[in-house]
Amino acid sequence: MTNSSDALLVRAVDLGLSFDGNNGAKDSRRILSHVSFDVSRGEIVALLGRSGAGKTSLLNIVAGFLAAQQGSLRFPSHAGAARPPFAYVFQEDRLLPWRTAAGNIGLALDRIGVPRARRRALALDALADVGLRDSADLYPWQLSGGMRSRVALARALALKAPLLLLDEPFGKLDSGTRAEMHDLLRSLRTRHEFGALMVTHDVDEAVALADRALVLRPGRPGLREVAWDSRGAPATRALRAALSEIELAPPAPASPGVKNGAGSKAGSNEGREVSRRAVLALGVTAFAATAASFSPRAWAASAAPVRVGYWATGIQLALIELIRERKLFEKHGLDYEFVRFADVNGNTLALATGRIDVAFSVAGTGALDLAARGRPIRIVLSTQAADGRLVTRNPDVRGLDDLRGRSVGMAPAGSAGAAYTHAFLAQNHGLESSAYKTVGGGEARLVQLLVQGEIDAALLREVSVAQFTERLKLRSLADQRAEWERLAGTGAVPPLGLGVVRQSILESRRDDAVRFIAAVIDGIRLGAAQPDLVSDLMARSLKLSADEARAYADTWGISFHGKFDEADVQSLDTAQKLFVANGSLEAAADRAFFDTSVYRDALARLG
Amino acid sequence: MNVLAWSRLAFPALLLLAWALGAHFSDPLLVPSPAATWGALVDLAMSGDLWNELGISIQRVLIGVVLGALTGIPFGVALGASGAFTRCCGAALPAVSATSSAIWAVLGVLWFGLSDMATIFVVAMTAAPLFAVNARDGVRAVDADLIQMARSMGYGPFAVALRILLPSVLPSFFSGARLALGFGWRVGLVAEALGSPTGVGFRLKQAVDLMHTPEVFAWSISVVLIMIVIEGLVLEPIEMRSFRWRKPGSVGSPLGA
Repeated sequence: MTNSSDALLVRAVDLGLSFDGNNGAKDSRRILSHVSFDVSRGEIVALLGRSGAGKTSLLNIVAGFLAAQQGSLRFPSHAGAARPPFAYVFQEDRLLPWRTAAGNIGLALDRIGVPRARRRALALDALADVGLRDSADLYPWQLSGGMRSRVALARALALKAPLLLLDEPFGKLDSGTRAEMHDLLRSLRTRHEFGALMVTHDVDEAVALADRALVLRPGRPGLREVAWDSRGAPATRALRAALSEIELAPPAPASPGVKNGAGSKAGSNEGREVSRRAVLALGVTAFAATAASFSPRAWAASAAPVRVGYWATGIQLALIELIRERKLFEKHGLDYEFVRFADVNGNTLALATGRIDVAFSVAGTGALDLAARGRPIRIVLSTQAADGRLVTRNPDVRGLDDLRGRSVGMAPAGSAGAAYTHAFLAQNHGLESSAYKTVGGGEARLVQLLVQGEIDAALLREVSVAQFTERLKLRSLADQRAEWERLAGTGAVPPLGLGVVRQSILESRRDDAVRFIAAVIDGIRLGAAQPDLVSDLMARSLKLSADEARAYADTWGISFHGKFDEADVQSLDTAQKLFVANGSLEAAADRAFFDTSVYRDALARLG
Repeated sequence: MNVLAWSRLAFPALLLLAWALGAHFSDPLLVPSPAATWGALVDLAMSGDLWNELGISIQRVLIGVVLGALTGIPFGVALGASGAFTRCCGAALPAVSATSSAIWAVLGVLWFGLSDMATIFVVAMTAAPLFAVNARDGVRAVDADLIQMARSMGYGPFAVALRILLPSVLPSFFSGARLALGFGWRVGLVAEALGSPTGVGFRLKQAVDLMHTPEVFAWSISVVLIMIVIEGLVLEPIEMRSFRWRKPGSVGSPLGA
């Protein structure tokens, strides 16, 4: 033992440690007491003892991970240094998986202040020291267990600390690799002259590497020191004797709580591949099935009830309810069934594909689109009008001309309603659509935006105007139906919902088409004559409050039109030219698709 | 061409074939032909609409995802790091992530009206919990042994955070970002369809309302393509570059290697 003060690396005096159980002092267990030892430069000291004797605890006290409860610890050669005077080599390699071998050593070089530019060269030197120069750019997962241990060792040495603390560093390696590591550590010791404190449970390892051994005696104070002059059988015997003297249990294969290292993560790539294929096959089948379901179905055409499509919304629903409740289809001798759609284009598409025969209020643009494409349909009634008023609650907007540069809400872009609003503003008032900002949206949303002040004016349907004028202090700037008469001729209404009949019905069962239109007109007239009936129906079918239902009843006559004479055909033609001009319709429909004869026959039928 | 290349083309080809067949046997208003869709796509591209609207939507989604990250990541890190924080505020995470995007979309439209914020809000509210969950799990999964190793070298808390914590949680952050971007893109379109005056979602809804079915398909395809392009040209290379240290096969990728 060389004990000159400059060679002394660590001196521990009377260290003590006990663990308190959860039950306080009663459970407290004394781990270490009165433990004193020195480690000097150039020597390797083995720390032995059976599992639970406190080997690793002692090492952790030296490293500062644990605070000793008694005693003192000094690092004489390192007083006042900013860096720890030791480098710790753990049981596991603890390499950073996202850094290469060289990068991992760079972590240590970074710590001791090596500038970035020089790190690579020094890391390569450190790796060459442990025989891994060629593996500098490999990631940890690409290295074997032995190689990883070497990198970990090289990383610890790169810290240039005089003292190495090793916690069973080779415990996980196979015996051949372990022997190589022993040779390596010995040669490194000669070169780097470090001192080391090494925890091990392997007597052979202790004798092979260390110069002397400290044996911890569980539950008893102090420790027993065994030294030897030459490696070999006598030293091994002496150490074994010392260990058995303190009733060392047979060496445990591994300390408890050892973490599983890499483990087997091979996984079943094959299984994953198979299931991926299965999913693919399933997807293709599902797609094919979906595509097939779009193919035309054989719908029975003759002698079956007429399939009446309707869109379940707002006031249309009231008309349907009225027709249903008053049995108007039955009254006119129509055998029918209702097909309900949730979307504005639902019955348009169903007409095009023959899933319904007639619809009493198809969106104007949709019906004209079918006609323009030459689909086998006829437009036979102007059912609903695009009524409404342009209203404002902005005090600065006194007339239409004040809308220049402001935001105007209207039906969604591309819809019939928006086309009419744009048209009357431009043609009757010289307000081109570029003069104001257009905001599209449904009725409720337009009201919301008016309240939020995001828009300065909005074209609201009459029913909304009736409901909100007082509450929101709305002022009317223009009446869309009146404006449309200026555009399309006296008596014309801006068409919104159109009665449409499939041509096959007109050819084979024309009477049914006439009965259908007669029943619809009958219903519209009935609603206009009996507002109480309408508001009662609205309240029941749409769950509206009495006020709201009343608003629908009051505007019934403005919303529904129920005619199809020359003025209406003219109006429709004007409308479709507008739609073509604004791009929402690709081409205008031939007038042959507008059939006024059904309407005339229905009127005759109604008497 | 080798087998691998063929197998890559097989699925798109099959899809195109199924589409063409489906279009042939059904009404063009329901299923437009690939040619009609291509025509609509070209028209949209030539008029500049395609790029304008995609630009608007992508910008909104990106801002939303960034806002989601700025709120979600610190929250998730706090959840992963502190038991006390988890006890006091942990319930917010399942509450927010269980809230349907439809609800955020409706609220966004209601509160933010026509402004971009409506869409951004929806995307952010969808992205934030995804970021938070991944950040939390990432922080919880940090290897304490590596932290102890760095501390044994004498590194301080800030250096440990920079050198050990950040690289450890980066993969989790990344998968959070990838999820958030994917969900954000989908949810953002829904929000646009519900109440925005611009953007791909709005145009998609408008095309549906006008029964311009080829345009509907064109927008849909462009939306899917954009996601594939972002995945293949941005996320995938970043992931390959940033996480090449990972053992191959330990991480799944939607596009395959």
